[in-house]
Formats: sequence, structure tokens, C-alpha cells
Amino acid sequence: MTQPLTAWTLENLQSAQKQIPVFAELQAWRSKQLQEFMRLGFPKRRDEQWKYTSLSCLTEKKFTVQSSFRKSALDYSAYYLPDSYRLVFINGEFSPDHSHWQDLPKEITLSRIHNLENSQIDLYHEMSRLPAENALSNFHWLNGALMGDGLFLVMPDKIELTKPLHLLYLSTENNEPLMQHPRHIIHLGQHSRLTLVEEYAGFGDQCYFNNVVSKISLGQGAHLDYYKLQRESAGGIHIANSFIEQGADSRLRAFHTALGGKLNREDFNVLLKGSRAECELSGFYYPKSGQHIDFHTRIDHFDSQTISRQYYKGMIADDGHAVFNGKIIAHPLTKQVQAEQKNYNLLLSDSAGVDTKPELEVYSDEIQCSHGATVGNLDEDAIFYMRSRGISEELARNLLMSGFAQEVLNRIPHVQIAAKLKRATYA
Amino acid sequence: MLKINNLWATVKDAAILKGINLQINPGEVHAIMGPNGSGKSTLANVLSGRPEYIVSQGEVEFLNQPLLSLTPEERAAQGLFLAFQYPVEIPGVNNLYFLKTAYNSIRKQKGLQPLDAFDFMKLVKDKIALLDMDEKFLHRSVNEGFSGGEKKRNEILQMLILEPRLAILDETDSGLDIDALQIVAKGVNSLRSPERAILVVTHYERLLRYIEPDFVHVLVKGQILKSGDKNLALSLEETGYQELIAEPRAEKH
Repeated sequence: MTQPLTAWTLENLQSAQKQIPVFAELQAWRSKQLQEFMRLGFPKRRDEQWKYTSLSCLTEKKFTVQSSFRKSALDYSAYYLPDSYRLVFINGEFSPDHSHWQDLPKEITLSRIHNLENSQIDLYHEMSRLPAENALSNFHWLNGALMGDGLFLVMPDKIELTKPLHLLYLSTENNEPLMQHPRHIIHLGQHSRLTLVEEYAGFGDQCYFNNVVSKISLGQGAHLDYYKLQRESAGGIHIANSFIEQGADSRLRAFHTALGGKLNREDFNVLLKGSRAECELSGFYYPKSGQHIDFHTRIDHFDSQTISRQYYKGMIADDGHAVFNGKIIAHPLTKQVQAEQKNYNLLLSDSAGVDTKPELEVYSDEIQCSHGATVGNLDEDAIFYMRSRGISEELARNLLMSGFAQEVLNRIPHVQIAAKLKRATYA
Repeated sequence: MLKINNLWATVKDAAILKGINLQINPGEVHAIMGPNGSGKSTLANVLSGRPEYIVSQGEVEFLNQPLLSLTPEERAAQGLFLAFQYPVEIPGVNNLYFLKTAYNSIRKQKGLQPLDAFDFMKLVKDKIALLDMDEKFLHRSVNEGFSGGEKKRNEILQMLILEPRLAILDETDSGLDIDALQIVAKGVNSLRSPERAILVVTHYERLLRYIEPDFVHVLVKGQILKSGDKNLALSLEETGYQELIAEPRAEKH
């Protein structure tokens, strides 16, 4: 049997590296990342964590890191969130013309990874350290090897950003299929508060590959509302590895909306490292024809009285496929840990599919843990009920579907963000 | 208004209705009584067009048009309404929005302009006052977490808003305490008019004390065994259904 031709050779990746500017201190580090990726390659179906997800659309294709996008006066305001700070990247390049951040409070360090000043490098190294506890994924190494531009945000103690920060990552037409490996580093000092909206959007049905790594750390008592909206174009591939480390009494509310792309894999890792740290993850995914959306969450309870709640719902149409794999680890010597996980799936066609799997590892003596997963179809009794009131069958189905999504979208506390996510979902 | 002629129906291949004949004229209130499993609810569901119920024989005319070839939503637009025995919970769908969608769907089928949110709210407020319902029920998901009595009131609310020509009440009294029963009956009675008819399906005579029928029919094993006026309901209450079931079939009306 002959090996399929692959574009993912050391030679190709090294020449790609040369096309990405990076500050000198990172050169050696980047080579090491590439070595590690070459050693591991892409995950295989036989890897337990990848058994439901095929990567052939990625591994068999050639991507460039060279954006052919030239600055344009295009209007992207339909994507904007009112009354927010905004950082726009187009095909991986920061676009100051579309961005709005100048009136951020002075105490906040905001930069781009490709634009760090020498005095920020040490801080960068400190903040970018990834948790040693998680085995890093193949995609994380690839991201390091070809690290693109991204957000570097450090908030000192006791600062509250009242307006949301909107990170908008747009993928437009490119001469050759483009790949981008953005990395975002975010730190909230003690008792600081931030609302972050991270959005990925694509145009048309072109093929491209976004491979994102985010490292977020919350100091003691910090509070982060984190929204991620993935609406890549129909040919887009979106892989994301996120790590959120939480100090004592910190609180995370995360909300995922995954709608686009032909392949989307989210690895969302929360590390509850300080006592009474609390996280609430909700999400809604909606794969349709030709789409595969795979959520892998992992929550580590490292300390006592930590709380995690997960509430993910998915609607799967046509021959779409979804995966939800939720892992909870309660580490030894922790007490009064609470962990809750719920996953509800609605199959809208006979060829739609979903794999849902909870994984619980409990080494703690005292844990309150609950989990539940369901897979069902639209309720025919409810459809008849509505039809008997004069509502057409099609409208009845649509009402049930939006009702299902509504239950999770209604949990969003921020009115304008909720409106934006609802518009995106029902588009 | 409604003419049922030799109606046979099956559910999951079991014959439930075995030759029903019934005529309801405008302005009349009919009650169908019968023991459990006699086919009362099946008749109500067949008339409203529930897909699992298959008509194997017979015809039904509603307002001088054949009924059985219509979809459930078309029947609703013609003015047929079924108050469900077990109203369905619809998570995530706001009750007020549902009511408005139903109301405007029927208007649309009739070629009328939809009512705007303001006018619709005015309409709803009058009706919920009549049913002594708390306005908060409008803002919850349809029937979700409602008590048995609240669900039944919500059925009657829908009925009052949609103003059907023929209202079928399927065991609307089940699970209601006496206060709720009176409120529900008040709502139903407010709809009585010379142009409308009401068909009450019930196991017990209790509801008929509040919604007084012009005719009472006793359904047993898929056939109407006996018809009479409201006194028939009273005598059934005393003797029970057993005596009737034992009577020879020659008694059939």
C-alpha cells in the first residue's frame, strides 16, 4: 500500500515558518514545536479522543500561510457588536481600520503577539505557559510551529471592563487555501472582570483552516464571561484548543455557539485550581449538510468546593454529525466538589448522527456529581398539537427547533450578545 | 354543522370506532359519554385529524364540506377546535407567541391580515381575565410545568381566542377541582351562541352540570348505544355503564 501524498512535510512546514514574522526569542521555541508536531503527526482515528472524527479533509489538502488579501474598504459592520471594543483580524492579519480599542483603560496591556515590545516578552512567557497537567494535542504543537498573530491581553487587579471586547476573526477569499494558527493569551488579575466575545466567520464556501490555541488565566476572584461564536464558511476547518486556569473564587461563564465549517473540533479545558472556583459552560451546536462538529470538554477539579456545570445542546440536520465528549476529573484530596453535566441532542433527519459520551474520573472523597445525555427527535405530539391550532406543519417544526435552541440561548445574560447569537443561529 | 355517517376508525390496526352516526346542528351542545376504552377520545382525535388515527370507512361533513381529506391545520382554519385531554408541553416556545402564531396562521389561511402584537395582546387580556388566569402564564413555555388545572385553562384560553365554530372538549374535566371546573365551564359557556356548537366528551356527568347539553349520547365499544336529552346523563350517573352494556343491541339509536 502506498502512502497518500501529503503536503505536511518538514520541508513545506519549514518554508511556511519563514513566511511568518516572529520575534527573535521565539525562533528556537518555534523549531522545537515543529519537531514535536513532526514526531506526532496528525491524530488518527484509533486515538480514543479522535475516534468519532475524521481529519482527511485536512490532511489530504495543501494550505498556505500566505494571505493574498489586500487591504480593502470592505464593510464588515454587520458583524459588529454595538457598544464594544473590537479587534478585527482578516485572513490572520490585524486590521486597525476595522478595529476599535483606543479608549481602553490605560492600565490594561493589550497587544498582538506579533507586535510585542521587548519589555513585554517576559510577561508573555509567563502568561503563555500552558498547564502541565494536560497532555497537549498535536494541533497545539502545529499552532506553535506556525504561530500566527493573536490577542495578548493582561488585565491588572481590580479592573472591570464594562464594554465587551469583541475579537473578530474573518476569513475571506484567498488565492490558495489559507491556514492560520492564531494564539490568544489572556489574563485577568485578581477581582477583575471581562466580557470577551471571540468570533470566527468566513465568506462563501472556500476551504481554509483555522487552528486556534487560547490560554486564559483568571486570578483570585476574577470573573470572565466568555462567548465563542464559530460560523466559518461551509468549506472551513476550525480546530481550537482552549485552556482556562481558574484561581480561587474566580468565576467563568462560557458560552459556545458552533454553526459553521465542514469540520469543527473544540477542545475546551478548564482547570479549577483554586478553592471555590466555579465554571458554567453552555453551548449550542448545529451541524447541517456535510458538517461535523465535535466538542471535547475537560474539567479538572484540583481544589475543594469547586463547582462545574455544563449544559450543551445540539441540533443535527441532514447528514450532519455531532460529537459531545464531556470529561470531568475530581482530583484526590479535594472535598465538596460539585460537577454537573447535561447534553441534549435533537436529530432532525434519519441520516443525522450524534455521539455523546460522559467521562467521569473521581478520586475525590466528597463529590456531588450528576450527568445526563439524551438523543431524540422532534416531538410528533407537539407538532400535532400545534397543527390542531392552525399552525402549518413546517412552521410547527420550526417553532419546536427554535424552542429547543432558545432554551440554551436564553441563558445568555448580555442582551446584545444574545441578540447577535440568536441572529447567527437562525440565519 | 357536523354530520358523521357510519364512521369506522383504527389505531395501530385495532378497530376502535365501529360505525358512528351523529349529527350536530349550529347552537347545539352534545355530550358523548362512555366507559374507558369505548372510543370517546378516538372520535375526538379522528375529527381533529391526528395522523395515527386511520379512518377505514365512512364520511364526515363539517359545514357542508368533506372533513376527512383536510389536514389538521385546515380543519382548525375551518373552525374546528379540540381541547386536548393531555395538553402537550412545548419547551422553549413562549405561550403568548404560540397563541399569536396560531391566531395569525388561521387568519392567513382565511386570507386575512395578521393582527399586530398590540391588538392581539388586548384580545388576550380580555380572555385571561374571564378565565381568572395569571398573566405570567403567557410568558412561560407552552404548558411546561403547568399543573393539570392550569393546562386545561390554557386549552380553554386557546379556544376563546381562536373562536371555533365547533369546539370538542376531550375529557376537559379530568384532573380539575370544583373551582377550576366552574371557571372552565364559564369559559366554555361564554362561547355558546346560535352559530356555534360544542361537543363534550366525558366519562362523568359532573361537567354536564355546568355545561348543560342538549343531547347526550352513550358510546360503548365504538358505537353509540343510546341517545337522549340531559336526563340520560343523570340516569347514567345512578346506574353506571354496566347496565347499558348488558342491554341488547336493538337499543341502538
